[in-house]
Amino acid sequence: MNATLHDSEAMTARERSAEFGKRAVPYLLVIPGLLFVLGVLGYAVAGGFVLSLNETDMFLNKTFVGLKNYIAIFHNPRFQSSLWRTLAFVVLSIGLGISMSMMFALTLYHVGFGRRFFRGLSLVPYFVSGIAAAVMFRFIFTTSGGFVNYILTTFGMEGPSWLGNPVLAFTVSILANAWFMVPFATLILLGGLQTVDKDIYEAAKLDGSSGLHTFRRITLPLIKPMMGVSLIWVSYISFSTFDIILALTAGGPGRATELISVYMYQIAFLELDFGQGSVLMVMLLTFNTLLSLVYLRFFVYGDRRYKVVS
Amino acid sequence: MVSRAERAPHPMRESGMFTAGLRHRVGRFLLIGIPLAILVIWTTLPILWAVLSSLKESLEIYESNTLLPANPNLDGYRTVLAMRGFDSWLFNSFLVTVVATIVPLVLSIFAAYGFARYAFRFRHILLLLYLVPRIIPRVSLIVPLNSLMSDLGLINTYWVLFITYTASAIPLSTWILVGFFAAIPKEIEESATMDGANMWHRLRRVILPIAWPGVVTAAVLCIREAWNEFAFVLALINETSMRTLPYQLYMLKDSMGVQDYAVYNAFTVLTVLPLLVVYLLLERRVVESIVSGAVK
Amino acid sequence: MSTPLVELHELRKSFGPLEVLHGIELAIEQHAFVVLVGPSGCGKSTLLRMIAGLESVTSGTIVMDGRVVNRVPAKDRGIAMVFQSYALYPHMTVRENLSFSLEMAKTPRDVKQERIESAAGILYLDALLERFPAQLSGGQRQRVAMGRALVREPELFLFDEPLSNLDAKLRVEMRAEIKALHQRLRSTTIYVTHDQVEAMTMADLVVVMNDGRIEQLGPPLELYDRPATVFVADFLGSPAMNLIAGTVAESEAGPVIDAGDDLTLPLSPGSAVRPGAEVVYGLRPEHLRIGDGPAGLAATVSLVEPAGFETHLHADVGGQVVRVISTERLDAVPGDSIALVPDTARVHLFDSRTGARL
Repeated sequence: MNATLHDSEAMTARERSAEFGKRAVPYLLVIPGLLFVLGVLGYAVAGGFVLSLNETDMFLNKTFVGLKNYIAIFHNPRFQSSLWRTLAFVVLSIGLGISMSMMFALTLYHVGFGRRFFRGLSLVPYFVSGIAAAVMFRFIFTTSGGFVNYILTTFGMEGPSWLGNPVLAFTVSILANAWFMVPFATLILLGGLQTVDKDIYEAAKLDGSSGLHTFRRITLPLIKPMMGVSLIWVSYISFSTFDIILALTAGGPGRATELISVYMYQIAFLELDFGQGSVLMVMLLTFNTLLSLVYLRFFVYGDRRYKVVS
Repeated sequence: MVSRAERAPHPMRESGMFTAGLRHRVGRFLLIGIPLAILVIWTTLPILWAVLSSLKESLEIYESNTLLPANPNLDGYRTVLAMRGFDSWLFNSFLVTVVATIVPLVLSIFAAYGFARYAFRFRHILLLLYLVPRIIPRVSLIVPLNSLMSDLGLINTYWVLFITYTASAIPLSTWILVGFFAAIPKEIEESATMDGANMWHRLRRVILPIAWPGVVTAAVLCIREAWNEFAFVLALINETSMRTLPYQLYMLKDSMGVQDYAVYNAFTVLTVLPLLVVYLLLERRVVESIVSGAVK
Repeated sequence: MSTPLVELHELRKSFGPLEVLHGIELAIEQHAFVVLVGPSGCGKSTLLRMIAGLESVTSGTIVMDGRVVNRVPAKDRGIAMVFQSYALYPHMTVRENLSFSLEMAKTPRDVKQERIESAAGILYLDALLERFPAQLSGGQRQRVAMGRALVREPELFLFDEPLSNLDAKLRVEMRAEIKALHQRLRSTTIYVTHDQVEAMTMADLVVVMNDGRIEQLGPPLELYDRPATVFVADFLGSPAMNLIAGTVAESEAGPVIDAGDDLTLPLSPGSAVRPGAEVVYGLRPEHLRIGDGPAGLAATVSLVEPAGFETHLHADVGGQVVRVISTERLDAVPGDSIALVPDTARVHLFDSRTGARL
């Protein structure tokens, strides 16, 4: 008996190939999708880096020029102002976006009736395309026939030309962008609020804490990871916002709303300078990655001393 | 909304209790009601205004600016539907959305199953390769993609949209599905294994039905991405008949001489409507998935 | 005796560099009800999963019906398994749960129907067939899990801690039900648990495992009466056996155990032990009697737990806590002085170094 058992220990060729097949299974499952991701997105990123080091002519022939494009871009005042404009846009958008999301999330958390309805409603703008959102905002803010100026007129005020004034146009862009990105951030924060155990609030109440104090000392620290996630989302959208600006103001009036993404599109597709366009792509990518890493570090994975239990 | 004071006996005297309850109610109304009103107005106003404007007569807005259409009519919609090319833009949008939903969904179901259920070498790094692209802004890729696709001679084809949309949808749907698959207890699958189910059967009969809310969520988000996509189509398509609806909506600005508000708004409503219908049908699962943190 | 249904030879399992099973030898007869019992992490579940085919074999062999099945896939081993979490398919009705394996095996419709009905009848599931698992109580889910195993008419049933998700009362009921079912169907069963009461009450053959090894195997009462090691002695029985370390010494009445602090424990006169040997003295709580007079070991009551039928007593004897079970109602209170009389015929002695029975 023992002899036969030992014989069976050795794998036959067929068993060995079966064993190999078993091991290949996860790779076979994972690789097809990866081919798309790497083949298209990965290739595009790599190609963008290469392009940024080249000069292209009208027929897209490339010549290697090293960092020439980078130097040219950094010395270009149009770039400098669009960089500062983008930073201002991002900072203001984050401020507005997060405070609105937090307000809406708290409202949805506490609302007693029609909870499901309001939650569902709040996500609707997430499903409106950036172009459509921009068009809608254009019609709300058009000088004649716009909703806002209609309201102002009924109160006897003369409505300004919202999209013709640099400061106002910039403000309207921020509002349109917020309209588009707030819903998702709201639901993320609402999810964070819902994971906090209600007993903790009762305990805080017994400890004599209330209102704002509880919010600052209990709620905020406990939803920190979700705060981080919504911050990533909000700044990701604001940094790379493109379709909304393009369809709302096209960067105007003048260059009042020309963010880096819009500038990139114009320099690459209207001035056909793919090299410098790619420099801007590299910058967008770097900014965005760095910012995400910072948030992840400080909010989501930063504090390992306690774990937010969900 | 029943206030706490009404439910539980309160130590205060009758009148005190009444005023306390009232104050509580008013406070609560202000604290919840006002932000709720802002939320509802903020969310619906742009859409409502678009719908109202789409029902107005062509030049109504210039003559007298009113809130409601004086003479509601569907002329705007009729004009849009009669536009030359509207049917092909609509068809393009549908076709691209269907392909760019089904293909990434199938690929990410397989990938997510692999990641959620197998331990294998390079698992971590492969998963990272799948997920990191999520923080790449889509618009940043249009320059190199245009150059790449020109080299391949794919500009102005459906293929270029299929390929790029699929690639950019895969990371998100894989992420969602990995979460849902990994949440299914291993024993259930082991039990199916003992019941004689092979991998294909387990996936189709056990895993997918249990993770169905996740599949629906991933599908809706793929549909959303594809239907609303703009940057890629802008960079990769330049033939009028190959445009999708968002692209055409963008182009309307230039192509319409006298801005016909009603037509413009009708077009906007028509591009938004199909996706909103999909969302409203599957709203509960999508909202739940996002609130539960399954979509991040 | 016929050949055993399952034989394990030199079975080893490693996870990476960590070996969790160190050469298991076990033969399981047809119709036997075998319980693998041990503390968590002892390898009992891993062993069961290897028999099931859910875990690969690192070395050694698993033989079923005279055939080596090391590399036979789980579904072809003729085995059904009931999981701790039940692992019911949440999206299928009870009927669909029961029929899933038969569908996979392409069983003809009428056979399928018949088997489902008979399993449902045996397990009182007839009225629940169209319900979903979420609509069932814990006990009902447990029964569905068993029914799912039953319909396959397997040669071997495996149970992995099937009762640990139930509350205490239901656990006792289901224990009896599983036992009754086995007595009716006579199907060979391997049952894993960490609960020694389940092991004692259900098994024909108890296999006590510890740290990846079989510590002792045998019929329940044999293990209870003659534990082979200190581990088994300590593990089986509740409250646990009193175990006191000491040295064998001589006295006028024969050998005794010197446990230090003037504590001298009596042995039966005929005990064949070597004076000076380091031993562990074991005595079950029910083998200590509370003496009427001063004769016996002087003790101080430290805790009284009236359990109804019995009274559990903790007493301090020469600095050691000793557990005593009495079937009499006692009016002792903590602090009382009592005398404890050991039943020397029931004393277990173990080598204190190896833990083996002397």
